[in-house]
Amino acid sequence: MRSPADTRPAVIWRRTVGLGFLTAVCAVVGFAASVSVSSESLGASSISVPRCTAAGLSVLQNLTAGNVVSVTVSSLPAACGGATLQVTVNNGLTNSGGSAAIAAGGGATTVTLTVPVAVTASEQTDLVVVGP
Amino acid sequence: MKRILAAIIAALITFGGVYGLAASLNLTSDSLGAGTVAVAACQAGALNATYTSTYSATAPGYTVGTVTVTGLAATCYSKPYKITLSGAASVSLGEATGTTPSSGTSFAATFSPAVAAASVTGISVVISG
Repeated sequence: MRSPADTRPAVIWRRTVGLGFLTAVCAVVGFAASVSVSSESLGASSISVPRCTAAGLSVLQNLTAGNVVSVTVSSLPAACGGATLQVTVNNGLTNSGGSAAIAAGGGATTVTLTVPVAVTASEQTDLVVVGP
Repeated sequence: MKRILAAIIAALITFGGVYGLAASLNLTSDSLGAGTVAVAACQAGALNATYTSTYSATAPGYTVGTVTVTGLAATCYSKPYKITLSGAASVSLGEATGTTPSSGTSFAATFSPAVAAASVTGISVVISG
């Protein structure tokens, strides 16, 4: 049962202040459970390295006096236009290569070897298209 | 008489409280703190990777020894990076690590040993710090 003394303004004020104090204390306890977190930057990405063509290319060795002096690569699609074609011929004893730009529309590109490579029973021709 | 009654009542209250507390569990707790923060990239602009291929007679064939990354923004200066070239089934073929430059818009990453160019099907770049 509430006594008349409980309804006095001073008592109500004290109780209100007391409740406010308790609320503030609870709020402080709630904040204490959180942790301040910071982070450095982190950026990452992965992509496929595209091929300008997956079709077969024609490779023709151009000979002079028993030496491979240049290589012509044809059937290059327009997607390879503007890229750089690098070719190396290896006869097992020595190797030589060169590079040339592929025309905008593709087609055929001839790469002149830095040093002619002697024709042997078996030669390996490697090529790579870089860019565009 | 009143004093005796008061002492008895006080004793009952005290021991009652003790018995009440005895029924509670002893509970302790490890600390637990939580927070959340966004992890941001150092730049939003696109980076572009270009390849330098070199013929290797021992491979034999063309290999990629250097990847040049362009499009670097100032916000990514002087930060650790890692570049991975991958092949079929996303298998790593080689990694290059270093620190981005403190100026300019490009940097070159060297792969040692060089990676067979024909095997490269993907590239991954991460910049942190």
